[in-house]
Amino acid sequence: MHKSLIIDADKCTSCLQCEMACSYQHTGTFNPARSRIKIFEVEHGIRAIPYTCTQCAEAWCMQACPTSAISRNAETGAVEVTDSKCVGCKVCTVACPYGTINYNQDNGKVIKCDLCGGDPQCAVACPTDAIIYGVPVADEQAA
Amino acid sequence: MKITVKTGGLFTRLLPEGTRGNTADIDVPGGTTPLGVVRHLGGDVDGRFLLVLNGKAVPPSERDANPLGDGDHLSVMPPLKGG
Amino acid sequence: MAWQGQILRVNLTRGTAEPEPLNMAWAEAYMGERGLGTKYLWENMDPKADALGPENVLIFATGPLTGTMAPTSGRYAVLCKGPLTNAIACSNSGGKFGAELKFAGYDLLLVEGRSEQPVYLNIVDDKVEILSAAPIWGTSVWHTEDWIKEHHRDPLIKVASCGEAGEQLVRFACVVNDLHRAAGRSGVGAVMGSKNLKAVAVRGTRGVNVADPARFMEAVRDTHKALAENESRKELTELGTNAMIDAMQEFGGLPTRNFETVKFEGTEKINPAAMWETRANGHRNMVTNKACFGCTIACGRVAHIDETHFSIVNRPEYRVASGGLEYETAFAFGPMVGVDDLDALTFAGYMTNEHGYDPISFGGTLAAAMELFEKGIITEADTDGIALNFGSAEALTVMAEKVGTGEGFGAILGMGSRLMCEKYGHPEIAMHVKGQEFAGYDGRALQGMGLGYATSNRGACHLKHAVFEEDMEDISGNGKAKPCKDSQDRIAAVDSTGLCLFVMDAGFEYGHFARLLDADLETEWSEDRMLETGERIWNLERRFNLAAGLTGADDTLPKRLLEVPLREGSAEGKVNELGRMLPEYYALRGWTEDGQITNDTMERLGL
Repeated sequence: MHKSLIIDADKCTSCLQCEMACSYQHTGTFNPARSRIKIFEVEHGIRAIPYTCTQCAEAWCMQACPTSAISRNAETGAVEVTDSKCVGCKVCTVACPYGTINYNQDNGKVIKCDLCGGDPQCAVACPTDAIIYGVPVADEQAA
Repeated sequence: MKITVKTGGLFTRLLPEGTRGNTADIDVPGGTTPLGVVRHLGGDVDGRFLLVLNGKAVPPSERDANPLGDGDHLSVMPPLKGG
Repeated sequence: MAWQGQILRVNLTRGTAEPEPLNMAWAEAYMGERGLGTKYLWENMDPKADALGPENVLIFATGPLTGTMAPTSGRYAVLCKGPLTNAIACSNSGGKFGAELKFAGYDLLLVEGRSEQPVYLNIVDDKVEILSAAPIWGTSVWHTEDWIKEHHRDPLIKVASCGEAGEQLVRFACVVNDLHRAAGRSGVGAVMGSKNLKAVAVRGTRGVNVADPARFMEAVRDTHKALAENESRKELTELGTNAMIDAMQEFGGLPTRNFETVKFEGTEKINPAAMWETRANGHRNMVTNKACFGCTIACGRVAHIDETHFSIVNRPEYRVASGGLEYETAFAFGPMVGVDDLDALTFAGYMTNEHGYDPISFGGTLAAAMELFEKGIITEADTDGIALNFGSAEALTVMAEKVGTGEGFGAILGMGSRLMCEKYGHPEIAMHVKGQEFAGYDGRALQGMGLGYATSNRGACHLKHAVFEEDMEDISGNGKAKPCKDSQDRIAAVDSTGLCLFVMDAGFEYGHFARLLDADLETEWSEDRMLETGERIWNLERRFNLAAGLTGADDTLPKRLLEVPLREGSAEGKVNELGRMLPEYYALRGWTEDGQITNDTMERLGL
C-alpha cells in the first residue's frame, strides 16, 4: 500500500506554510501562486481546506496525455509529469475532474503534485498535522 | 495546611483532577513556599510565571523564601507580555 | 535577494502609478517594514502637513522576511502622519495582504495626493489600475472585500480597505485586510479615507528569493521547532492573547472604568475559559483559531455570538463566525467600560472589523464618554437617548455600531477621547498620550510600561516597548529607563523584519531573527546590527515628531496616572514615577533635558 497525503481540514489554520514549502521544493522560491497544494478559504475566511492531487487510480490526466508525458511512479504511487515530454497542450488539465493539474505559464508545461519523490514537503511544513503523509487507517485495515 | 490556588492559562491543567474552573483548595505541608506550591503541583519551577500571594505579586527574591500560612490565596499565572 | 527591488509610487491627484527602484541604501540602514517605511515617509513629506490633507503620504511597507517561509512572515506596516496624534503613525498587520504585495513585485507601496473621486487600486503583478470605487464607497470592509473578489472573479485576491469609519475620518479608523486583521492604531484608515482611497486589491504571482537558501531553510527549521516546543506558544495557540487577562487581573494592572481602578469584578466572564465554555443552551463562544500568513502559532480567535443575545436576535446576518476577542479587545470592551457580557464584547469586535476602527481607542473613548455621562457633563440629550453608564452592554453595542457608521453620537466618539473631552470642557477625563488611548496595562501598576507609553512615538501603545518582566518583578520605577529604552530599540528592529512581534514571547530568541535576516539578505546581519538599526529607527521617528511640532512636553501621562494612587492590587498606593524615570531615559537616549536629539546622537546613528 502506497502512502498518501492525508488531509484533515478541521486542523488547518490557513498559515500557507505548505504552499511555501511546495513552491520552494519545486521552484527554489517562495511563491504560493506556484504551489501544487492550495488552501481554499470558505465561510468568510473562517474555514480553510487544503486541496491537492489524490494520485487517483483512474489518473485521467495520464490517460489523456497525447505525448505520454505523464506516468505513475511505481515506488511512490505518484502520477508525475516528465517535463521533457510535456508539450503544454493542456489536455490533461481538462481531463482532470479535480482541477489539480495546472498549466504553468513560466515554462509552458503542466505542474501537479509529485509527492516530492516520497518526502512531501507540505506535510513536513504543516505545523498542525492537517496534512500528514501516511497510510490511511481504512486502507491499513483492509490490508 | 489548606491554601487556595487560582490559576491562569495552561497552569489550570496543574490543578487536581476533578477541579471545576480555575481555582482549587489544596493541602500542602507546613513551611511550603509560593514556589513550593508550583513544585507541589508538578509545574516547571524554572519556567516563567507570575505568582500573586493574597493580592500582591511575589518578587523573585521572595518566591522560595517566605512560607505560606493556612488559608493563604496564591495565584499562579502566565507571565505578563504584550498582546 | 529577499527584496523585489522595486516600490510602487501612486499619485492619486495625478492618477498615476509608477514602479521605481527600491532605495537599497535606505533598506540597508533601516531594514524594512517599520524602519524603511519611516525613512520613505521622512523623505517624501513635510511632517508639518495636515494629517488629513493631500500632502500626507500613506505607505504600505513589507519587510525583508515578508513572504518567506520564516514563521509569521505575513507582516506589513502602514505608515503616515496620524490624525489622532499629529505624530508619526505606524501600525502593522498580519493576514495575507502584506505577503501578496511582495509577491506582486513590490516591497513597498507609497500613496501620495488625493483623488477627486473615490477609487481603489487594483494590482495584478505589473498591471496596476486606479479604478472607480463608486460601487463600494459607503460600504463596509466586509462588503468591499466580497465585492472586489466577485467583481474581478478571483477569490484569491487580497484586499486592504478602510471601511466607513475611514471614509468618515474617524480619528482612530484602521486599515483592515483579509476581513479580520488590521493595521489598527493611530488612525491610518482615516488617512486612507481622506485620500478617497477605498481599498488596495492585490494579486501576485512572483516568488520571493533569499540570498542563501540552504542556510535560510536551516534557520526556518530551527525557528519552527523553537515555536513548536514552547509552552507560551502553546498557550497562545489554545487561549489566544486573552490568556493574559487573568494574569493582569490577579496582578492588579487591568485598567477598569477609565482607570478608576485596576481589577475588574467581571473578568472571569470574559476570559479564555469563558470563551471556551459550553453554555446550558449548547452555545460556545469559541469556534476555532486561525493563522496569519506563514504563522505556525495561530493566535487569532474565531468566535460566534449566541443567537439569543440581544445584539443579534433580529439580525441574522451576524449569525456567522468571525474574528473573536483578543486581549486588547477584551480589555477595551470589558474592564475599560465595565461590561462583562461576552456576547456584547464579541459583537462590538465584529463592528470594529466590519466598519474598520481601532477597538483600543474606541474603548478608551467610550470609557471617557461614560465618565462624562456619569458625572453629568453630558446627558441622554447628547447621546441619542442612550444611557452611557459604565457596565451597560447596550451602550457598548449601540455605540460600537454608531461609531462605525458615523451616526449621531457615534460621530462625536469618532473624534477620539482627547478632542471629545476638550469639546465638553473636561480634557482631564481623556486617558491618552499624544492623543492616542491606552492599551490594557495601567502605568501605575507597571512603571516601565508607563514610561514606554509616555515616550512612544505614536502615543499610548503597548507594542513598542516591553518591560513586563521587570515591572512584574519590581513595582517601583527603579532602573526601568534602561529596559524601556532597550526594548523600544529591540522591538523597532523586529517590527522592521516582516515577522510578528508575538514570536518573541513564544520561543524565539533575538538571535533567531538575526540568523534569518543574515541568510535572507546579501549583507551581514547580527543582533548588534539589529539593535543599532532599531535605535536609528526610533530616533528617526522622534525626529519626525519633533519636526511635526511635538516637544518633550508631550512625553507625559494623564494626571490620573501621575497623581491618583492605586487603591488595590500589587502596586497599591503607587502613582507612575515618570518625573524620576524620564530624565534617566532622555540621558540614555542621548537626548537633551528637554527631549531634543543631540547632534552627537544624530551623528552616531548616521541620521
